[in-house]
Amino acid sequence: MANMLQLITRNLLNKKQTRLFPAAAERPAFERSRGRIILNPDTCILCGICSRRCPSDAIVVDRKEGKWELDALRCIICGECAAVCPKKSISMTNDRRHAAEDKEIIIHKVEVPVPAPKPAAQKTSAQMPNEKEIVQKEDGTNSEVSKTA
Amino acid sequence: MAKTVIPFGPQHPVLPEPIQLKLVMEDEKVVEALPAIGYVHRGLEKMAELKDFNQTVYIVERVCGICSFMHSMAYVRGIEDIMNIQIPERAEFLRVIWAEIGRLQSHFLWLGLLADAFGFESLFMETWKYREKILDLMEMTTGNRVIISANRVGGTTKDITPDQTKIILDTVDTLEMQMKDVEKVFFDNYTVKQRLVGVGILTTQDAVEYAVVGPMMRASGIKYDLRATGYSAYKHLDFEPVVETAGDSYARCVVRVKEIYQSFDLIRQAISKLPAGDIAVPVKGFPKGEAISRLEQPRGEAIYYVKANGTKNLERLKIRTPTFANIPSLLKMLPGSKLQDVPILVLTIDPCISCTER
Repeated sequence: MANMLQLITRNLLNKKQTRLFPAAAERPAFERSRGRIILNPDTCILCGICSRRCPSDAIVVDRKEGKWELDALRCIICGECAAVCPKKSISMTNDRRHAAEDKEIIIHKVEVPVPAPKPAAQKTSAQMPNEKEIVQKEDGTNSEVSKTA
Repeated sequence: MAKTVIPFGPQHPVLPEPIQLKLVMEDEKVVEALPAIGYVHRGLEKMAELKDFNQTVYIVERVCGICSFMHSMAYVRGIEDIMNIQIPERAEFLRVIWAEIGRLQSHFLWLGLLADAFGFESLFMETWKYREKILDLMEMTTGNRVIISANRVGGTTKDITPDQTKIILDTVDTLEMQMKDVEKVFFDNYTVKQRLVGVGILTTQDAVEYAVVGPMMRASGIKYDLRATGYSAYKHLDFEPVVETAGDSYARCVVRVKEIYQSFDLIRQAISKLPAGDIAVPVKGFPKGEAISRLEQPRGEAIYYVKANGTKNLERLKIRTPTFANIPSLLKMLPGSKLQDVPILVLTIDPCISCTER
């Protein structure tokens, strides 16, 4: 009995352990806290690796139309997409998201410029003289072979 | 004497997760208990066959909302065993640190629920106040409070910086001092002892016959803790299992409180011996083969059977969780007890029904 009374009096005399949220300010998030996933469209190459690695199929990448969609309600904020992106375009913020206020599914449509298709290598007669072509030999090394030869 | 059947659960204030026990009563005494489980079955073992073996780490963590880190640890250890991957030493120690912090938050949660079960709400709030400090440690190092996603096949995803280890050690020291006051309430308070001493005695013979695991087994006098076998980084740490012999609910409470102190000590040892190095190795290819990995979760021994056939999906994942092994002993302890002891008995096995029915 005396032990609990000691704890109770100590609690009464100390400051409050709880916060009167939302009237009081929220505790600042830690540096590594998980918040939202955001994409930087300038560096995205639409490779689709993030979409394949996502455990909950929240990312949909459309190469032809240049769209990158993230279903924020499916996302489990695990950080796999940010870890595997080859261009490091995806990052995770640490701001705390509060509950969604309406039932609309939030999809981020980010317009990403579709990379231009590479010109196909063609052998034409209109080639510059002394142009060299890189040929792979049988043992796997590359060597330069002159085309005009 | 006419028998009545009282349904205990699936909704009940003391239960952390839904389980139904139909109690067949004669007056105030329980004569028989008929369990019904299946309220939280989500088919996660099947889902593991439909996803990539890397994505399955995220599924396996969500089997339980309390002992989540150790599920993912057991799974990645199974896959690493199949693929013969040698992970860096630093990753082993980091996993042990997070595992022990997870054990701490699970035991603090259980102490709070036990206090709530016999109506001692202020003690419940006090214990969970300390649990918040432990959850802050998890959030500081990994970003989340319970489901931390810190494991991957080949190591861990996050590192603990030297500043963070200092904060962990300071928090552990403060909590140890504060815990010494709280434990006196659990051990010496007259009303607490009236509710716990002599309730639900499980003799050593019964404990062996019913194959109980975890703190329930150690409170009945059997000295067995899987951490003493030296898996992961435990082989470098000094460790002695905590054993009590009385076999009643009071002994189980004592075992879990002493395990809290033991976890504090293990965290200190692991941080002092943390080696430098990488936190993960790259993984190529697909697993082929089968493996069994066992580890000591807060509730007991968990067994993971992983079978892979060379493709990116697993062929079979089977999980045997500790609460599943402890439920038969609950059905042994309940007959003969009074109705007011039923919530205490259900809580002393530390029921984690989401684990039982993944």
